[in-house]
Amino acid sequence: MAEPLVEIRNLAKHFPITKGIVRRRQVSEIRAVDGIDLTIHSGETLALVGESGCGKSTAGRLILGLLPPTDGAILHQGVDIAAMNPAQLRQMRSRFQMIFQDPFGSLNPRMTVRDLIAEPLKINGYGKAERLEKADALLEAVGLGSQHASRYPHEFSGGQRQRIGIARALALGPDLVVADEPVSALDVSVQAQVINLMQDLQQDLGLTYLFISHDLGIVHHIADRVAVMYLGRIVEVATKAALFASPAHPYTRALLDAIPVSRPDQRRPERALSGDLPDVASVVGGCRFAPRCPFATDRCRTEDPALRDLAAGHSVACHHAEALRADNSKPRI
Amino acid sequence: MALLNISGLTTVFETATGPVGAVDGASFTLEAGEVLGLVGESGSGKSVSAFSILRLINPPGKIIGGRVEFGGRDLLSLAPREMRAVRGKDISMIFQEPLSSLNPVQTIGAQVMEPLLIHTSIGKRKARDRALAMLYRVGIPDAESRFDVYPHQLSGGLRQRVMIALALVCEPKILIADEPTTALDVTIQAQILALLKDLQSELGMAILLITHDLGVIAEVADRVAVMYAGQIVESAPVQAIFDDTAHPYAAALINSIPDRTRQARRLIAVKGNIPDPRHLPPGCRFAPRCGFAQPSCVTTVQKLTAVDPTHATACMRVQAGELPRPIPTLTPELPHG
Amino acid sequence: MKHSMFGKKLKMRLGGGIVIAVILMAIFAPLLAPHDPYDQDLMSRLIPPFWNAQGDWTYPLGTDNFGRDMLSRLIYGSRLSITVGVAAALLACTMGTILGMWAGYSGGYAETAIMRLADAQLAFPDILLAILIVAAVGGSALNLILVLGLSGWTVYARVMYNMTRSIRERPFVEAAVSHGARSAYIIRQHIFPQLIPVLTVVATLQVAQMILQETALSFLGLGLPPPTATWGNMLAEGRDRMWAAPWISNLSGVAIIILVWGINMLGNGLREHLDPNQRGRQ
Repeated sequence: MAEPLVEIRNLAKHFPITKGIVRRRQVSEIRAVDGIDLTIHSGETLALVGESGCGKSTAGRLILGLLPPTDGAILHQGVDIAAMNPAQLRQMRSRFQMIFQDPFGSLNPRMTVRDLIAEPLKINGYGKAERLEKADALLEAVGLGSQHASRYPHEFSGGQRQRIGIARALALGPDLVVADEPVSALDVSVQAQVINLMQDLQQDLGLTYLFISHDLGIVHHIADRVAVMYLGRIVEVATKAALFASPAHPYTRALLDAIPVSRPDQRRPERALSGDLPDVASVVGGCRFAPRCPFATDRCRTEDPALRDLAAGHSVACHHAEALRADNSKPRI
Repeated sequence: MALLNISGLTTVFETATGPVGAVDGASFTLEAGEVLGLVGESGSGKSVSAFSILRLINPPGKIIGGRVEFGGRDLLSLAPREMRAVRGKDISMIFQEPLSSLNPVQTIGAQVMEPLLIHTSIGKRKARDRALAMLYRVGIPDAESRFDVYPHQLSGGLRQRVMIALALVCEPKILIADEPTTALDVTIQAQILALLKDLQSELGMAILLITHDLGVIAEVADRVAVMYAGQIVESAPVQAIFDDTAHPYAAALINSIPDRTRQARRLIAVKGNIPDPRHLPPGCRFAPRCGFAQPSCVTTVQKLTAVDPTHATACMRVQAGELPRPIPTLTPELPHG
Repeated sequence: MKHSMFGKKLKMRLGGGIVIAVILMAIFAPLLAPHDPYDQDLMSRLIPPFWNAQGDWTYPLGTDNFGRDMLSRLIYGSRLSITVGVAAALLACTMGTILGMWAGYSGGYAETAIMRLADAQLAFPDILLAILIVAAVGGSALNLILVLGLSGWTVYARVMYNMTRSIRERPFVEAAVSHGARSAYIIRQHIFPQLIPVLTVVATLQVAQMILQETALSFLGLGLPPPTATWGNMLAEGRDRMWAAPWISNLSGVAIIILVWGINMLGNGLREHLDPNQRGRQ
């Protein structure tokens, strides 16, 4: 297995909920990310999946140093960026970049495409000639052509804008690219173009992706390994094959069951998960998934399960994972 | 005789540079008790079609042609008062974003009672009973004590259930569901789809399901109409859309879903982008992006024509028998490097 | 659609024309004024304007109680109105923008301190504050500018604070941070340019407010002391002879109305012109 590019240890981000006008007091907190451990290997695509509010985007921003963590360590090739001051962190930023979800909001509408793509270079002190040359090369690399360089973002479709965002993320030659739902705002027929581009670029440039998504269909296509998050915790990490074939956490299983079939002849008796996502602020003791889990026992409601190794490269946070995995005997797609 | 018969529906939006077509001569039927999936991407005109059926198009939008026949009448020529009697009683609608479609300052119970008070002469007490029964029926746990809460106090999934209760409380013959699960998380989405299917078989209504998600179509639709750039390009029973695809755009849409049963290195992408409605190709609107297009496709106006009793396509090459059904998958270009 | 765009252009042309005319008048007052505005001639007191039967073309707009030429005094009076209005608006604008952006960008204690101060000041009528201060320190052009400028910053601070906060949350700002940008770069490159259109409109409209406040202070005797020719002073001087010589207050009142109306029209035209919703449709 390739060496770890990023190692995250006990990473946490709690957002305080405050009350009061003059003297703000903290009344409680939202544990958006609540103690996660994760390793991203060089050259792989690790997908971070979960539903809205599970903390996957917050985790991505913590790994990029865009939010200060409440606790924990984020080691980029052995260096902990959580312990850095802002100036040191700025020096590191060229090594990890981000592709944003919103192709409209993430590009300043008043800047031309060339200026947008060259902006990271400008910030990092590259000369003007070099900036322009690189920007045009990047435009070509994402399949847009440098004739578009002096146009403004509103002249482009969502898919084209996302290509601009990708070019900008690659301008500084990063090792790690965190892609936060990069295609969820795009039309279906355009999504495939962008996914293909991301895969080609990964191959050509040896990129490592942290691919944040709620769409398990796309994750199945692009990921090498998958980490599943639920309410601030990682509940399962496995290779894609293992996760889709034999999920060991009941939540992973529910997520897989909830994916709409891709053809009408695959319709199956409904096994929809009951209950709503609980309020993240209200979690107390025990397994967070227990209130919705069909397999929950008294132990689940009192004892918080830790993420543990089930097999090589397959970890899960469930007391009953072994029994559940044995139950996966029936064929699954 | 179909329950709802739409023919030649044309809706435009007035802009500074002249009218821009949103729906261009769409024709389709909805049979009693079926789920018709109207599928398309952004700008395809699927939502505008749905809103046009209920005449909920506001200026600068305008319905300029076509007929919407329901119960022997053309809804487009009804007086506003007669149209209001249809809305919410015979045909009702649910929307993508339940929070903005519910009144934030009215309790959910009062909102679910409202259609009954408008459309029937039953008293308040009876309306309350029926509204409460409906809230239980759509799976609001403990609906009795939630009857007097406000929409913001509920989760997204429960709000969508309230919307469904509100739409179905008068037991309409047709439910128009505009992207009912798009704003919801995947596990909640599965719950709502299951609920819609249950309610449909129980109440026997027809559903016009507007969605961009072919997975949702594959899950619940009986028949499908595929829209592209304001026009219907293919309509067929759901199995035939997937197995016997008769339009290159429909094929492209199906192929662009990552299929977990087929492990390919690359996804099959459609080149190009959805056309600008102000600059549409004169002939087939998909031709510039189509892998099977010939020069004549770009210039010849193409009409949705039946190739089977239940299957229609707008592709003239399929109509002429020049393309096989299902449309073959084009080998994806090889990755560079 | 069509006629509203025409209206926007007309507003900007007409409003801009009035404003430019008054500015030119203020600059070239010595060349334009037919008489010395301070030249008293007791023999020709209270001559009515030319359209009146007793009018006299030597004094086209008549004379005041001391026989000074009304037209010349009106021309000279525009100098103070324009100077005080523009300078006070600029001062308020600079101060309010810096404080508002600071509060909106940094948050925390700076936000609390600045915005609570603005709230406190907004709870107190501007004009009352100005009266108190001018009454204490005395009226001079500089004092008027300082007083009006310092009391007007809250408008900008509020608008800029809210805009900065919302722009700060937009993904392209986060993108710049992810590329290693410093706060100064983000404010300069991504935040301030987005504020300019709104700033322009608010500042233009505020010039009119400042002029009205300056006039009010002068009218109350808290502006520049007589015999200085200001529109507010002239309004006050005409007050005692409203029936005998109505033109004295009427003419200065009309001058104020035309200028304020022109500025407001220019500001509204600019607002429509710079409105991104309108621009997107062109």
